[in-house]
Amino acid sequence: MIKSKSLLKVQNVTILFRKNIGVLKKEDMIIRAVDGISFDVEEGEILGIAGESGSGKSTLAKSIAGLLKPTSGIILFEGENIYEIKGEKYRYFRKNVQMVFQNPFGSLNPSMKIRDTLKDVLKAAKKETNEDVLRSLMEFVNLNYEILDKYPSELSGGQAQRVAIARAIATQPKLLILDEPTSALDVSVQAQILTLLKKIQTEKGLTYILISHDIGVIRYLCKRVIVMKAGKIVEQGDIEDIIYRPKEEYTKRLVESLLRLYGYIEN
Amino acid sequence: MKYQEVSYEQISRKQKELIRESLKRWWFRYSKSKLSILGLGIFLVIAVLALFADYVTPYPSNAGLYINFKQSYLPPSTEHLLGTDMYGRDVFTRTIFGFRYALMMVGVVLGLVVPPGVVLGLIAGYYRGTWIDTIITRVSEVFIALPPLVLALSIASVLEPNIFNAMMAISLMWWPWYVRLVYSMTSSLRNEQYVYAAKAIGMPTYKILFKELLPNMLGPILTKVTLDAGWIIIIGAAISFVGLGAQPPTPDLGTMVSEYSRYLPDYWWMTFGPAIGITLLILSFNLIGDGIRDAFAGE
Repeated sequence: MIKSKSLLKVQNVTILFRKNIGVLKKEDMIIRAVDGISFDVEEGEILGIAGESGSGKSTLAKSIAGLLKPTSGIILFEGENIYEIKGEKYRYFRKNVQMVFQNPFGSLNPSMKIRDTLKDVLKAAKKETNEDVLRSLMEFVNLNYEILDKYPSELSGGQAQRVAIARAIATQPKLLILDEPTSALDVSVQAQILTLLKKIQTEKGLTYILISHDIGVIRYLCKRVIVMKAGKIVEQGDIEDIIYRPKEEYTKRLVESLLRLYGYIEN
Repeated sequence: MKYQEVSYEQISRKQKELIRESLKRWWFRYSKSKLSILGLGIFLVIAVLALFADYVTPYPSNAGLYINFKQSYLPPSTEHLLGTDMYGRDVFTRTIFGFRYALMMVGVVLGLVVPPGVVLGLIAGYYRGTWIDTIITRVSEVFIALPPLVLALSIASVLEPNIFNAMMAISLMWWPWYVRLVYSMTSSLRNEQYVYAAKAIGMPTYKILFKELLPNMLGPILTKVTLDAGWIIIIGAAISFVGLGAQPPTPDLGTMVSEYSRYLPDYWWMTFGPAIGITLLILSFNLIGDGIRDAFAGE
């Protein structure tokens, strides 16, 4: 039934949000954040998901990370439905699927030192939490170990995002979901983070799902890309094809707006 | 990047240093207001006096049942700082012993009220919108809907009037306010990304509640605790004043005011002692509360 090669299988996932509008006369409005999406992710590949804000990318990411149960459809990780597994299998899924959030300051607890944040992750994954492990983690993301004793508010954006990446790879996951990992950062820092992500991927052979509105970021890391609009997949395929030979008007506009942003339009 | 070798002892020393430093910073923000230092000073003096009441008061035997009509109705003098009452007991001594009961009441009530209130608030806020939330908030709303003093008075009057039942009554009407406070903070904090991040690493729910969420609300909770300490004394004194709290000859501040108010205005010094005691205690708690709020706000 399930191909053994694909690490993650998303089948016909739909996520609806209900919103109450009005004060006296309550009216239910249903928002289709994600609308019947299916795709596979092979082991070791980097899949990009592009789309403008509000297209349901982040909702989908949360759902894949096991944080938001889809209204319908199933998500399989190594052939197991992630919203039905329990006990040991659930822990295995948690350990192997990690997420890096958009805003590093939001995703690090402001009242905890970096050391405690990292320790908690390692404890949750039942791993050693000694000083050597923590320091080698910091070294891996090119951070000085002194940062371990700081609070998130004392870090720069780039440092905080590196810590968030260190936390995500601490459990040695197989799949890393990157939800706009660079969009809260300065352009110069963005490049460093992207280089770091590429280094980690090649060294550890991780599988990435990279979510971004920035086609340039996706082009740097990914081969295959999915373009989303209003919760649906508009187009998918090779990144170069999408950029140079977009089939849909929406994709074309997305690419053009980006190129205009960088000050040039090829051809 | 440079990776400098340091020993583990150095690290633990550094950590201790950092803790000391953050305490120092906290104290710096607290001590910016002279009033909050004054409040802390008053509170410490009262606490020490109450703790060593047997040694610091001139006539420790006068605290409870004691009659010496030769000494009764004496105005304030160097011998009796706040005068004596109708049975010849030293009012200053009794006021100091009264602080003991007031502080004990605050301690017991807060100890009974804060932990369950905070835990229930955390649970209800975290599971907002589910049946767990509905049960907890509805039950606490029932308690909030009843006028607090009336509820406490009726409980104290149905049960035998003594200081223990008065404390139970106050506790019963107080916990919903902590549920409310923590509930509102939890339901906004639970959508923070670090909570999602904690969920994503598979952290158990109780750890998310107590390690991720609770430390971020410590400021408002501690502020409310200190401000409430003042309120508890007021309510406790009110219950005692109408005769439903501690019974004479217990040297409770509220009971004393109630006992002595019959001798106003001729023997004003009898009421003056416990009344000023209550005022000072409440004032100190309020000043401390303001200081704590400012210290946490600066973070």
